[in-house]
Formats: sequence, structure tokens, C-alpha cells
Amino acid sequence: MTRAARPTALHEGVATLAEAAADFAAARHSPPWLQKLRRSGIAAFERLGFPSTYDEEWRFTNLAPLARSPFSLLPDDVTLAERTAAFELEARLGTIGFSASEPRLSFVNGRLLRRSPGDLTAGVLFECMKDVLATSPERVERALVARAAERDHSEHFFGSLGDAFLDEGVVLHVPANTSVTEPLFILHVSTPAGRAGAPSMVHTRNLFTFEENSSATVIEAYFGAGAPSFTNARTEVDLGRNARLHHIKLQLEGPEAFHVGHLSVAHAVGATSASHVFSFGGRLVRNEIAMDLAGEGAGTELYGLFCANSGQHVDCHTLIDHVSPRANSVELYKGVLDGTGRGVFDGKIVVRPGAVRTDARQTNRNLILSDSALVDSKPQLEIHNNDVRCSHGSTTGRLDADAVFYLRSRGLSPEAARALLTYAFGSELIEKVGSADVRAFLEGHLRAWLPANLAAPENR
Amino acid sequence: MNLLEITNLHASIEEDGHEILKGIDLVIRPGEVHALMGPNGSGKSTLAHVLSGRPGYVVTQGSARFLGMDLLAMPAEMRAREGIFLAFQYPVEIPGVSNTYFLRTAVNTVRKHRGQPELDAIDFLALLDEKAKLVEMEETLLNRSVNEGFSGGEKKRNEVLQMAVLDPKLAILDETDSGLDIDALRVAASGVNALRDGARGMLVITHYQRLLDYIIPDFVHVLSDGKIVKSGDKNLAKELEAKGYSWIEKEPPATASAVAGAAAR
Amino acid sequence: MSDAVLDTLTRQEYPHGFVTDIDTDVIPAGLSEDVVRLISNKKGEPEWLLDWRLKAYRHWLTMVEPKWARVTYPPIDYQKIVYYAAPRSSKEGAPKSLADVEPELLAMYEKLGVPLKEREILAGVAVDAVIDSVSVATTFKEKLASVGIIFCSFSEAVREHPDLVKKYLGSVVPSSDNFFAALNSAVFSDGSFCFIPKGVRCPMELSTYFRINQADTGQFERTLIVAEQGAVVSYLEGCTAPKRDTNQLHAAVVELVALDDAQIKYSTVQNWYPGDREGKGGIYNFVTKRGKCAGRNSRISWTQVETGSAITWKYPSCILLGDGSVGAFYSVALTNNYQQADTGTKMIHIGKNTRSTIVSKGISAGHGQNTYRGAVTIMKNAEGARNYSQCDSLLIGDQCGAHTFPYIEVKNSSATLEHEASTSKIGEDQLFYCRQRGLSAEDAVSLIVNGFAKRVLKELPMEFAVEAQKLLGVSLEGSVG
Repeated sequence: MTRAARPTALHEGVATLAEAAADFAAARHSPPWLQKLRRSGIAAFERLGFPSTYDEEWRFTNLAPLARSPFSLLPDDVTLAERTAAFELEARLGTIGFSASEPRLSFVNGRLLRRSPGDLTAGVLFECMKDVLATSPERVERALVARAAERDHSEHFFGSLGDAFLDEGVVLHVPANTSVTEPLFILHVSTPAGRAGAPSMVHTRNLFTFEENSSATVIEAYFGAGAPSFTNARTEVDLGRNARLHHIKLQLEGPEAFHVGHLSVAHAVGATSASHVFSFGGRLVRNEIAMDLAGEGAGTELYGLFCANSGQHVDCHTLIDHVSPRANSVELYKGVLDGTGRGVFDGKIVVRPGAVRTDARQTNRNLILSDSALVDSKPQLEIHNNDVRCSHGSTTGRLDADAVFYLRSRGLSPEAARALLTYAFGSELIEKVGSADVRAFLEGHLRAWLPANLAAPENR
Repeated sequence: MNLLEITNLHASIEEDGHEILKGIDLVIRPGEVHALMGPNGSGKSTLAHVLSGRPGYVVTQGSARFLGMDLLAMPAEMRAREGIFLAFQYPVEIPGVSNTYFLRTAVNTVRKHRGQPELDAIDFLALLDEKAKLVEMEETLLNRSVNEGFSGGEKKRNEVLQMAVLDPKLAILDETDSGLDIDALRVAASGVNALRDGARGMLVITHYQRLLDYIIPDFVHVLSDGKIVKSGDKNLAKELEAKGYSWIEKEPPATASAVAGAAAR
Repeated sequence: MSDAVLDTLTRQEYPHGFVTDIDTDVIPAGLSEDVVRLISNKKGEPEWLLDWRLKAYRHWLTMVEPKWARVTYPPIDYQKIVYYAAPRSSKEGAPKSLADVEPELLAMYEKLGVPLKEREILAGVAVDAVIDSVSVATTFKEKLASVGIIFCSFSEAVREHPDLVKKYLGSVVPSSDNFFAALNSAVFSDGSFCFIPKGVRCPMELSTYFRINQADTGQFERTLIVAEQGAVVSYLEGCTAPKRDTNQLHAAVVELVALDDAQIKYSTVQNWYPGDREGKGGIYNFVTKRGKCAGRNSRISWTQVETGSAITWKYPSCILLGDGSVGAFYSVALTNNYQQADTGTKMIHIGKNTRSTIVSKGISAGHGQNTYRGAVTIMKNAEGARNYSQCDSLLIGDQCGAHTFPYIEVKNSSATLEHEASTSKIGEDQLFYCRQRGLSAEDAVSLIVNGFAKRVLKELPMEFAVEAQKLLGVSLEGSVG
């Protein structure tokens, strides 16, 4: 029933992608394992096809607009026009508050723009995937092959697509007992390509390895200059014993952008992670997070703020898999939907039979600002043993009329009152971010997002 | 017959085998009130738990007899039915089960065991009403779920109320004073004092002397590192208050016979 | 919890597991258009109803058995099921009154604790007794008729009130709604029909007692309750079946229609045979229940206590069409041994200012798997809709599972929705506290479970609340150690 009902648009898109992937693979000189990895990626995504809304995991997100749109890979060389546009965007960021001392890898339309070494802690490797694949591919072979093998069973379309186009991204290695003080910054900019032809598509792969007792903060940022684009970004992390990852993802692409992001983190004993996602839309955005709490006493915190305005669709999918005893997880996701914006929250907590003394809490709150916005929420618990403490909660509603009135009675205009309350709703997530620079940047961005929307006539 | 007779009692935590009680000797006769004092971690609460049959402990040596019966061989509910009552340091919440219903179920289970007729709702409410006055318990608390949303003082008063209604032969009060302000302490203590009837034995466990200003004990024992190291009368508590527990810990441990002698005095 | 206590608790037998030896008219196993015609013919049905059945059957043939529920069972062979079984009466035709009911049947219901002799009934509950495929007796019919209430078997309603049946049959659950509803529409045998006319408040509880007796039969009953403007009714169903090693299918359809200001309260105490401790046998309870709040300010509430069946798979739902209408779902589902339950509700808010409340309490013990699956949908024009959902799970033992899958879809921004869920176990300290007050471990667990389920139990009519409480205690036996 599921495959047969797939709309034809989803089929056609796959055929075009398979062609592009075959061309790409043929043009790259790569070791045999990598060629094989790409080939099986192609075979897998062709077999699976774009997921349709009949797939439970894609029930609320229709991929037909993505499948219908033609996207092409850009040549390896970055044009002057791209370079100029990217530097302008980057410069704008610089003034917003990120410091210059942080190590940074910047990409434009998926190709490396520049490396800023910053004050990189000794022993830490922070490199681009393309370089590693060219010079010492054996360093990433095992991790890439193992992840691809896992994916074979999970039937993950975009993961297989990423394998097929595996080329660029970031390889991070943090040695044992090392704390990286400066945040590591990965910046992706999409700009008009400056060439004729279809808009660009980017498949990027980040591979992080944290050895025992190490820790680091990584900021992944996706900015856009407004051109249509398709980004398929995967970050795969292995955390060793007692390692700690802070991951911040800023998704701030243009209203024409398609973005499918996936972060998966495997936790060893005592490893902990915190993920912060800030998603300000795009035409169709999907953020997936999969936390595998395989090690005893592991922990994860998931925070997300997603905002969508007219013509935008943001889908947040999280999975927390409690495999071992005494692991904790906390999750808070908030959605702000305006105009005809549509938001999806689908969060699942699985507690396996052996995962005794699990403590898991999940919360989703959605704020609807307009008459035409939609939200779907699906908070799920799947519990397989009795020695657990799990809860989830979900609320959806408008701004509290009493609170609006209270602020108006203190002299605020209705618009200002609503903006203030909406800001307060979203800022709870910003406050959870450790870096003051990032907080300041996000506060500015959230403010900038608000008044224009709230001044729209339909909200009066 | 002795109410309670503990001989060379050793007990460990089941999970890790850590020994907490290292040879306790204690005799309580009908009508006697014994206070058990000691620093944190000395084993006071463990003794209360082992006597009342809480799972999680292993008795490795020694014995405890209650009215001649082998207490340690009995499951927790049989000990309760025979007349041992533990006033919990941290009373447990049971959502959805009304306090009144809970207590009536307990009373009738105990009465049935003793061969007494079960109380019907009307007789029970009369009994409850009478006992509730002892601890100044409001009626609304009786109809709420067991301990759910009770303040610390309300929980402790609820324990004393249950004790009054269940009419035990031996009451063990585990730090009933902890977390109580002075007014709540006075109410709880006067409830306990009202239940001193010359027959009922009591073991009052406390860290501080102040509870013993209200419940005057016949005997005071000091527990340190799993053993009773000193026994005396109520003045021992005052002495402890003045000198602190370090004073006791420096003294050589008392012998079992000395303790028994103190208890028998 | 100690194993010794566990063992002492495992002795409890399913008390309703006996078989009654009665002369039964059984058709051969298997399903075809001829079987559908035969059932219709045996019941002397009019042509339109046969056509309706055949249409449903033909549609069913095109459908695939759904697989999305979190339950597992071997494939069902629909050709091995007997679709019609009726106790044969020595007298001609259906029993006209209780005096005509076979004494064996009366004795069977007596044994089940369902009194069919009106003079012995104290509680003032009217009962329709359904065994296998037919209704054998309905009490208090005359008394109810005096205020205009129709309470009778479905077959009788088809004969006596064809216009009402025709008007409302399939109006809430269309014959093509889902696989099991289509099957039921094709082969449904009997069930209850209630019609409460305008402005009438039903003077007593109405109740249907369902019993599967015959081996290898499926029970496919159909219940239809219509409350006209301002009418009020409370209805309760109970279910039991004999113990057998094989699984039996029960695929019922219940339709409720509430017009302006009408109120229907539908309560279920489901205690079909759950299978043995190893998971052998038991009823597959695959049921479609749906209510339509068609009128303004109408109210429908579902209350269910689900302790029986090997597999329970049902979602009593409310279509909140009328402005200001109110839907409610209160559920306790208990799974012990190898029982599986995938149950919940759908609240579809269509009218303005519609409200719904969901309270679900799942209790899993042994190897039991308990899933709450629910959907709250706020449609585009449902201004001011509100929903509150609370889904709590209690786990007893480390082999069981509790799962919560709520779907919340909001297409109108003025909606307010709140969903809360929690999972917990019976605390060791709760158990010890009760035991220190003299309660046995069994009584302590029963007490704690009943406390957990209290919010739902208090929604049951008084007469049945006590019964349900006992049932929860009994069904848990063997789960505590």
C-alpha cells in the first residue's frame, strides 16, 4: 500500500537524482570502498524512493515540492560571484557577534570557501572531509562504512542519498582528556550560483569522534541569501566514555530553501550531549535528531525552537533511544507558527528492556499566531520496562489573552504586547545556550523575526 | 514477657552487602518508652526498617523476638498485624486512594487478624473522628489521597493518627520530628503522649534532643557505627545535646550486658 | 517484590470460563455472498438490508487487513470462522417474553451474575442479553416503552422500526469505514438498539450483556443508540466468553447519535476471556465504536474498563459536529500475562466551541503490552475548540511494555490543547508502606492500581464501579511478586 500509493512526482525526482549521482561518482577518483559506498547509496535511495506521507515518519511532511524541483550539483570551483556573496554574508555575521578566535570552516554551496584556524586546541583535528578523503581516507573509512551499513536496515532515504553524494563536510577528532574551549564553527552559505542552470544542491557529511573524557562545542550554521537551494546535511557523532558534546544548529536559510538535516549521536558509558536547534524556516525544513543512549549513565538534552511563516514548513523529528541503565534525557521543543506556516513536532522516546532507572522528560509547546497556521504534534513514549520515570507533555494554543491584556493595561500596544510575549515564549530556548555570543545573535534574530510578522494585518 | 528483645543483631544492605548494624542488643518491656539517638549514618533508620520488615536488608547474625515470636521470620504485613507500627520518616504518597479508605482497609485487616469483627463505615468514622482530634487533623485531609499534597507537618500528624487508629503494641517512630516546626512538633508529640498507656512500648528514633522535651523517654540509647555505645536515662539526651555526638564516639563502646542492664533498670 | 508473593498470586482462574451446553443452530464455517444471504434470510430481513450487507461484503473483499496497531497475532483465516450461531428454542420463533426463554440460558446468565428475572433486579437496570449471534432476552421493555423509549435487540428493531434503523444504520460508521467494520456490516448478527425520543431522560441504566458460548464462532454484534433532542441515556455493556485454546474473533460496531442537547454515556466493562498464563487462547476484540455529536451542545462520553481479551484493538471516538458539543473518553486498560491492548480514541473537532477530554490509564503487568493511541484533530472551522488529554501508564514487572502515541493535529489557531503523559511503576516504598499497615502485597497492589485508575472508575455508573474495581484486582492476580 505504501509504495504503490507514491505519487509520480516522487518517482521522477528519484530518477533525476540517480543520474546525477552516477555522473558524480564516475567523475571522482576514489578508493574502492568509497566507490562501493556511493554505489550502494544510489541503489538504496533508488529502491526506497522519496518517502511519501503514507510513511508514518513522513505523515505530516509532503516531499513532492522537493522531488519536483530540479537541483544540480555545482562544479568544484567556486566562482567569484559566489565568493563575493558568501564573504558579504559572512561579514554580516561577524558583526553580529561571533568571535574571530574560533576555528571556522566555511562552505559556499557545499564547497570549501575558507579555513580560519583560530585558536584550535592542540591535538584536535578539524578538517574538511574532501581533504581527508583525498589524503588519508583510511581514517574515516571504518566510521563511514559502519554507519552506511546501519542505514541499510533503517531504510533512510536521505541518509542513502548522502552516501551516494559523499564528498565534502567536516571531520572532527577530539583526543582523550581534551577540552576544546573555543566553539568550533561550521558555516554553510548558499548563494545564487552565478551560473545558468538549476539551483544548487548540497550534500554534506560531518563526522565527529570524541575520545574518552573529551569535550567540545560545535556550531553548525546554515545561512542563505535567498536563492532556491537543497541542503542534505548529516552529522554523525561518536562520543567516547564520559565525553561531552554541545551541538548548536542554526538553520537560517532563505524562504526558498529546502533543508533536510540529521544529527545522530552514539553515546558510550557516561557520555553526555546537548543539542540546540534553532530553525527559522525555509520552504521545507526537516530536522532529525537521533540520540542513541547506548552507554550506561549517558545523558542527553534536546532543545529546539522552530519558527515558520507563510509558505514555510518546518518538521522536527527526534528520537531518544534509552538502551542502557541510568540514562537521562530532557527534551523541550517549541514551535511558533505564523501566516500560513506549518510546524510538525514528532518526538519519540524508546526505553529498552534493559534500560532500568531511565529518567526521560519530553515537552512540546506550540504557539499559533495566525488563523491559517497549522501544527501537528506527535509526542510518543515506547516503554519496555517498569523501572523508569518518563513523562511527556504537549500544548498548542494562542497567546494568553490575559497576558496580552495585562501588558496593554500597562500601556503597550497590542502588537508590542504580542511581540513581547512571543519573544518571551521563544527566548526560553535561547537562554539554554551556553555561548553568550550565540545567545546575543539569536536574540537579535528572534526580535527581527517578530515585529514584521506581528504587524501583519491578519493579526490585528 | 518482653515486648521486644533484640540480641546481637547484624544487618547489611542487600544490594552491596555493606554492613550497617553491627551487633545491637536491646530489650523493650511493655509500657516503656526508649529513645534511640545517634549521628547521621549510625544505623537508626536501618534498625527501624529491619524491625518492620522493609525489603532491601539482610540480617546476617542475631535475633529479634516480639512477644516471644521470631520477628525476622515474619513478612512485613504480619509484623504489622501482630502490633508493630512504624511511623515513617518519609511517609509515602498513594495517589487516588483516600486516606480514610486506606486506613479503614488497614484497620479491618488488622482486626480480622486479631479475631475482632470488622468495623463498618459508621463505626470506623466515629473512631477516626475521635482519633483525628488527638492530632488536630482536619477532615479535608482525611478525604484526600494518602499523603498526596500534604505538608511535612500534615504527613507526620497523619502517621500519628494512623498509629492511634491501628492501636499497635509497639510503635517505632522514625525521626518523627524531622522537618517539623515547633508547633507541628508539639501537636505530633502530644498525640504520641496520649498513646502512652502503660502497656504500649515505643521506640523513638531521633537525631535531636528537642523531641525528647515533649516525649519524655524512660531510657535513652546512643547508636554509633551500628552499635549501641551508651545507654542511660533522659539526662543522657541532655548531655548529648550539650557535648555533641563526638563526645560519645570517643568513649569505649558499652558492653552488651551494660546495655541490657540499663534497659532493665 | 519477592517471587514467593508472585507465586501465591498466580492461582486465580478466569471465573466466567465455563461452557453452557445448549442446543445451538450453527451454520458451517466460511464466508461468501451465500453466507451473507443465509444470515439475512435466517433473520427474515428486508431486501434493503440484504443489499446493504452485500455491498459491505463486496467492499470488504477489496480491503486489506490493517497492520498498523502495535499488536501481533497469527493470520486470521476468515474461512474458518462460523458467522452465525443461535441457541435453538424449543418454542416457535424468538422468545416473546422472559417466560419463553430457555431455562438453561437463564441459568447461564444467573451464573454470570446477570439477572434476567425482572423481579429480582434491584438496581433498576434494563438488560439485553446477547449470546453468540442472537439476543435472547430484553428486560423492562414495556416499562421503557411507556415513556417512548425503544430498547430491543437489533433484529427486532429491523422488524419493528425499519425506518429508524434505515435512517441511522451506517450513519456514523459507514460500511466501508475500515476492514473490521466492513466485515461486521456484512455479517452482523444481533446487538442492541436504543432510541430515546425527544426530551426523554431514560429512567434506568440500559445494559447489554454479550456472551460468546459456541466454539469457533465470531461475534459480530451491532449496537445503535440514538438520542433525540434533549434526550439523556446511560448505557453499559459487559462481555464474557468461555475458556478455549483457540482464539475467537469479536468484531463489533457501535454507533451513537446525539442530536441537539442530547447526552449519551456509554460504559463498557470488557472481560472477554484473555487467554491463559502462557498466552494461549482468548478473544480478539477488534471493535469500531464511534459517536456523532450531531446536534448543538450534545454530549457523548465513552468510559471503558478493558481487562479481558487476548488482544484489544479499539478506539471509541467522537465526531464533534454540533457547535458546543462535548466528547469524553475515560479508559482503564489492563494487560497481564501475554495480553495486548492498542486502544485510545479520536476526537474530531468540527463544530465551534467543541470540547473534549481524554483520560487514559494503562496498566501493564506480566508480558502485557499496552498502547495508548489517540488522535485529536481540530478542523479548520472549529473555532474555540479545547482538548485536554492525560495518558498515564503504570508498569508492574520488568517484562511488560507501555506505549503512548498521541497525534495532535491543529488546523485552527484558536484551539487550546493540552496533552500530558507519564509512566511510572508501583513503588517499592508504596508497597512497603501498605504492608507496614497490615495489608497483604496483593491487597496493596490492588489498592494502588485502583487509586491509579480512580479518575476513570468514578465515571462509571455506581452499580458497575464496584464490579470494575474487583475486576482490576482479579485481573492483576499473578502479576505481583
